[in-house]
Amino acid sequence: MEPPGSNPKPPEEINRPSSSPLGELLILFLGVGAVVIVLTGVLALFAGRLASLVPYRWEAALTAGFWPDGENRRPELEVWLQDLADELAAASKLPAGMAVTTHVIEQEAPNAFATLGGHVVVTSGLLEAVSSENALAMVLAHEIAHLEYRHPIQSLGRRAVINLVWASLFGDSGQVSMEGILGQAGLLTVLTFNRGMERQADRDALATLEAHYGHTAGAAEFFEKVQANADEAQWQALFRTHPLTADRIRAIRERGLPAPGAPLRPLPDFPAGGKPSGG
Amino acid sequence: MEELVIFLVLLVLGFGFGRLAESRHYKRIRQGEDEFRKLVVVPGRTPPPRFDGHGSRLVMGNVVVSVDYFKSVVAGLRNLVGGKVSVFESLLDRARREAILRMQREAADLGAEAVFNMRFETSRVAGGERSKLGSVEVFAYGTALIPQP
Repeated sequence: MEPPGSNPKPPEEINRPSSSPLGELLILFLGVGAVVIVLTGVLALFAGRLASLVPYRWEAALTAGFWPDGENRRPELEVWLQDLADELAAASKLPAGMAVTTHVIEQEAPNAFATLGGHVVVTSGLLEAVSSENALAMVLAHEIAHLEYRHPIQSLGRRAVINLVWASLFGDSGQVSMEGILGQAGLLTVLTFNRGMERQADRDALATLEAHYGHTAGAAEFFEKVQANADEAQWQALFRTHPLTADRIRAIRERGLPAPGAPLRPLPDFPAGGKPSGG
Repeated sequence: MEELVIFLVLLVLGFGFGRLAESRHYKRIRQGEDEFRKLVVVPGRTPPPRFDGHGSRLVMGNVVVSVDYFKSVVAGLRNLVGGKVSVFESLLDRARREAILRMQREAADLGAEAVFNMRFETSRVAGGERSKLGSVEVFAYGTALIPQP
C-alpha cells in the first residue's frame, strides 16, 4: 500500500457546511416558537373551560382549611368591609352558592386579589390609599367579578396543565435555551388570557357599581393613583398580567355613568388600630 | 422581560465571538496544513517496504474545543425537531484538523517521514450533563516512522 507523496487538500465544504447559522437559528426559532404559542393557547383555552366545571362546593371545601382565624386587629373595619362586599355581591348577582369572605392583611403596598373559595384579600395599604367608599367598591367589585367567573380556578387549571405538558415535553432535554426562550413564548400567551380576564372583571365591576350606587363616579380613583406612581410604556402591554392602567381608566370613563357631581360616599372612621382615611 | 434581554445579549455575544474565533482558527489550520503538507498521515496499517528499517514512535495530537452559547441554542432547537446539527459540524471539523496538526508537529519534532495507522478518539469534557455548555476533546494518535541514520 503506497502512501501519497504529500497530504492532499480536499475542498473545505465537504465537512463544513456553508449554511448560514443565523438563518438556521431564525427559521428554527420561528417554527418552534409558533408551535409553542399555538399549543399553549389551545391548552390554556381548554384547561380554563374544564377547570370551571369543578363544582364551587369542592373548591370552597378544599381551601377552607387555609384561612386561619387570625387575630382581628381591627374588628370593626373588617366587619364593615365584609358588609360592603356582601352588598356588592348581591348587586353583582353572584350565584347563590358563592359567598364572599373578605380579609385584611397588613401590607403597605395597595393591592387586592381574589382567590379560590370565594376569598378576597385586601391590603391595609389599599384601604389607606382610597379616599371614598366608591373607589374601594370598584376594587372589591372587580375581585367579586373574578369570583363570579371562576377566574381563580381557571388560572390554576391553566397553570397546572401547561406546566405538566411542558415538563413532559421538555423536562428531559433541559437545553440552555429551552426554559429560557420557549418558556417566554408560552408565558406571553398565558398573559394574554390573564389580560382578557382582567378586562372582563373591570366591565362587570362597573355594572355592579351602577347597580349599587346608581353611578360610577370615583371608580377610576385607584387606577389614577397607580398611574401617577408608575410609568408604563405602550410596548410593555404585552408583558403584563393586567391591561395598561391608562387603558383601564379609559374603559372606565367610556363605559361608566360618571354623573359629575354625584356624591361619593366617604369612608367611615374607625377608632384605634389604624383606620382608612376618612373621605 | 429581563431574561429575554439577557438571552439575546448572550446570543449575540456568542455568535459574534464564535464566528470571529472560528474564522481565525481556520486560517491558522490552513497555514499549518500547508506547513506539514509533506509529512504524510494515513490511516493504513501496512507501510510499504521502503519504510522497513525505520524507527517507530507513538505520536499524539490533542485539542479541546468548547461550544459557544449561540451554538448550544441552535443545537437545542435541533434536538427538538431533528436534522443535521450543522453548527457542530464546523466545530468538530476544526477540532479534528487541529488534532492532526498537533500530531504532525510532534512527529516533525522527532524527524519522522510519515505517520501511519492514525486513529481518532472523541470525548466530552466538563459540563457532564447534557444540558450544560460542554467541551469536546479530539485526540489523534498514530505511528510515526522515523528514518534511521
